[in-house]
Amino acid sequence: MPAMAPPAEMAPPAPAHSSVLPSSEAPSFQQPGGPRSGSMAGMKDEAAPTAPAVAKSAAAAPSGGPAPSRAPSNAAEEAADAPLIVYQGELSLRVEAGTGPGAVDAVVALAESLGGHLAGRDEGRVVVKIPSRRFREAMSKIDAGFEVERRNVKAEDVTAEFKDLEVRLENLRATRKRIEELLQKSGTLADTLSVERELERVAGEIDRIQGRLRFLRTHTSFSTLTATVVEKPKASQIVAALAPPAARRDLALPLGWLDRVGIDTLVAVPPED
Amino acid sequence: MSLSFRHLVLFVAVTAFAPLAAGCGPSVHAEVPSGFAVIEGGDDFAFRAANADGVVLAVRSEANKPHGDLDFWSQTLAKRLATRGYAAEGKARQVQSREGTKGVLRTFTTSSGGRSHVYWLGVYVTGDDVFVVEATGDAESIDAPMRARIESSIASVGLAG
Repeated sequence: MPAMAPPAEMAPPAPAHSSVLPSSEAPSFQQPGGPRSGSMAGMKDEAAPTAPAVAKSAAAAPSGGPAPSRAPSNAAEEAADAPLIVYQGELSLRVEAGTGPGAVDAVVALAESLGGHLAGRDEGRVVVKIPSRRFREAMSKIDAGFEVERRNVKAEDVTAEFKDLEVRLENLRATRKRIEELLQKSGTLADTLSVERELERVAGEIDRIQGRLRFLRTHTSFSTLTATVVEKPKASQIVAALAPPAARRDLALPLGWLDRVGIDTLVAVPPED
Repeated sequence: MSLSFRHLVLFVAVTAFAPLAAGCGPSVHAEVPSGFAVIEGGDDFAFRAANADGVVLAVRSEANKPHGDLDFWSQTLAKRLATRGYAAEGKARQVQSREGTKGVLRTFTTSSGGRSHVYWLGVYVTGDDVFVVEATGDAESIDAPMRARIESSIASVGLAG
């Protein structure tokens, strides 16, 4: 699993009440035998340090006066220096038979409780967007409430690209300003057309960079979590007098091209001759 | 050329251009839209083109063996894609090629390279051939007018046996 940048602040777990927890038809977050103590213990340990940290800052304050508050400029600088990470999480959840739709609803409700929203839904599969600062919390809560069969998290650091684009945008804006000034001064028609062409090129580049920055802001603000819900087969009674039914055999079409349909082949670079 | 066109996911539109076909098999009539270049299709595609933003469109033709109808092939491909993590968007739509061949168009979303992509799958079946029209692009680059153009183009592909 790639390393994940720690959240700036570990938000406290959402309180358990009816607007967060699923409906009565949905599966309980409780696993048989109780919640996953490992995950919950981990969350509690991460939350604990805030108490002694507060005590330390109170102790350090001059007597008779309030504890020194954090300078706003420091907080702003820290925010500006924080890495920009695009998180993509994929989970496969196993649930009891007949509780699949309820489980999907529960994942959506969890996302919404953390400030996120539904991004897509299909039978047995749901895609939600979650504020990146709460992505880890969301993964922990799902881990605590479901049987997670498979887990995959990707984290892409786009900080360098973002900063580079900001610098380029600033430079291009300055260039555009100079070109606009030149346009005012241009004399002949040929000169005017030449300057206008250059202005159009720079404007187009500015639009492209702004578009990319908007995309990066959106995708670093909200992380994507895809959960696939798989229902367990219903338990069936075994009748000793009857032979077990034959296993189903599906016809496997021996057509390799079927598996080559899709994005991977579509965008693959053909080998050089 | 409008900015949105530059981000256009490739589409196939029927024109009077010469067919761009692989060495053998049925031919496909396709127009290369502005900002796109025909690229090598390799062994898989009769036609493939891409633009500078990495948007790709391609057409492949395969033998209709085992012999099946449109429902068989469109559902077989859709189920295969579903097992590989492609999430269907909406329902399948009926389309028709320029020659009047009926087809089915489906839209999916999937993740590729850590980014969300939109993926179109158009399937047409003639007596001996199965035509698969595919298009894909980064979801960030696809707006509503773009979708409409893509789907219109996939739906008007020219097929020739």
